[in-house]
Amino acid sequence: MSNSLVKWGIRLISGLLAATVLGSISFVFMYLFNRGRTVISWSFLTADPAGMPIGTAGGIFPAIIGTFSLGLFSALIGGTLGVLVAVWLVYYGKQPLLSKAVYLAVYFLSGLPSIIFGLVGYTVLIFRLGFNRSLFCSGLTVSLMILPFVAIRVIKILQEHERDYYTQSLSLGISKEYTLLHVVLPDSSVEIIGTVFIGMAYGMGAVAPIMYTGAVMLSPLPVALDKPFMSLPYHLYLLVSNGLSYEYAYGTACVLLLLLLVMQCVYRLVHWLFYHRRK
Amino acid sequence: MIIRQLVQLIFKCLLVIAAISTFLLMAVMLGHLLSESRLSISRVGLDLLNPQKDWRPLGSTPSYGVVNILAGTLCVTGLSVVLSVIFGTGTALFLAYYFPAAAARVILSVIELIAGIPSVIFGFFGLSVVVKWFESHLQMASGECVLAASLILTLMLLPFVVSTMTESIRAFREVYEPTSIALGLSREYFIVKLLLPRLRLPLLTAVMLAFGRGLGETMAVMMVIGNSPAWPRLFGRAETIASLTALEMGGVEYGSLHLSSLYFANVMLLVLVLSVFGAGYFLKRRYSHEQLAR
Repeated sequence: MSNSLVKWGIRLISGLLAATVLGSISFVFMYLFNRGRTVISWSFLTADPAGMPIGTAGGIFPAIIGTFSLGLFSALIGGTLGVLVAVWLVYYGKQPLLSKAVYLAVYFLSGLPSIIFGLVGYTVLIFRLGFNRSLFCSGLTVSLMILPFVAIRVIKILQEHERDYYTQSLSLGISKEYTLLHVVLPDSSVEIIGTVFIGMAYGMGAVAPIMYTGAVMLSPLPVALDKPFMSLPYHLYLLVSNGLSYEYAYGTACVLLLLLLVMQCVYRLVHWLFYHRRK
Repeated sequence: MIIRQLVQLIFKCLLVIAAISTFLLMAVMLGHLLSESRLSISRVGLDLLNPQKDWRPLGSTPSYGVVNILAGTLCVTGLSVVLSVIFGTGTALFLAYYFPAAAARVILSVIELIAGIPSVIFGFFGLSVVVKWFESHLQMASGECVLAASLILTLMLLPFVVSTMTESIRAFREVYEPTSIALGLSREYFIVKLLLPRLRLPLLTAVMLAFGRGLGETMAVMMVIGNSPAWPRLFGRAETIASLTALEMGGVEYGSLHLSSLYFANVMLLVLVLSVFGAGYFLKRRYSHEQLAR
């Protein structure tokens, strides 16, 4: 008797909890897509922001471009550094003290809240070093966030990578660097590039690090490294926090969401195709 | 040949430079945080942590007490960690046991996608839906409150909890389920008597992970919590360290006491985050050792 009570109790409770979670998640997606759908149009995607106050009419084209420029720039710096650190840690970090210190640094940076990156980036780059608010400063700050994100994942990729080729190559008398450059890295290049790509998506959605280091409400194209830029998430934040236009905010949120979801799906698809091809 | 050796040398140098600069980055970050907060520690001193002092940096007699804000941070994060652990564990259990495996995998990857959604979108959703709902259904003057922020944060922390719990459940089942089926135990007996007690350590790890993530969450919380540095109440406005910093750092003068106090608040945040993650790290090590020794 009590057995079936327990049985149905567990089913009921876990089912209810799961239904709430899945329900609210799908509600968020549906709601944003539904409200955003009516706003998104060709002109919304390709026009400059207009209206009085700015942002209540026109489109978000410079923000899309700015988001991608920020992502590319910071993925280039943060991603490269992250991959290099990971390779060093997996294949070179033999001195226990130094490699422990670098490990600690990577995990430390990965645990740091994004607002601390923003705060330190803002005071160091803008005040201490006297840069202007620009794509360059924001890119540097965001790349610091991407670095540990990429490094931790690449460390995992390299550790799980087969060691056979590596040891065989070494025992043939080929140098370690040559092996890494010509065997190990090309072999896991798809996964590594995919990781940097996801790191880029992660950086593109960040607001806290770019708020005061370079993102602005309105900036004409073309995007340049030494000029402020527009970014979708920051634009969304401004639209909402200044109460400019909820309608346009829905549109912006929807575009940003779609953009990042598409990037995630591309990553998964490529990963899946690659994985199955190798099998 | 020489070119090849040169390339290899450059590659090796780059690796070492990257490793050392990562370490230096950590050192610079830490050093900067500490050195910038020194001013407020020496000028305001223990009043920073005096619960009687409010955060009123712009008043005629400015005061810089961060206790309310610390409490707000802990309160919002704590509440949403509790909620997300309850709901996340339930979801993981349900998907593992009472759902077709293929469909469960799809749902799990959808849940994981949430981890990639930027927090500003959650904040926007919270402001335009949750807060509005609070205003219209609970007759609140302003719906911005701790509870709304916690609900939004719960949604953001769910993927961490669900994926940690799913992994642990899977690992545990692989080891014990064949035996328990052979002994004729029912699925529910297995869950209640074997699985749930053993899930304690993974659960704690998930709590730590989620807590560390939640503490530093900026945009989502900032947009729905109302941002007034009061003692946190469930239906009242409050403020977290991250939201305080994001709101105020743009308007302060460099070298002022105000900025330095913001830095002090962030040092507190850092201490919290590091101790939570550190505890989680040691727990995780202990629990994998325990699994190995079993």
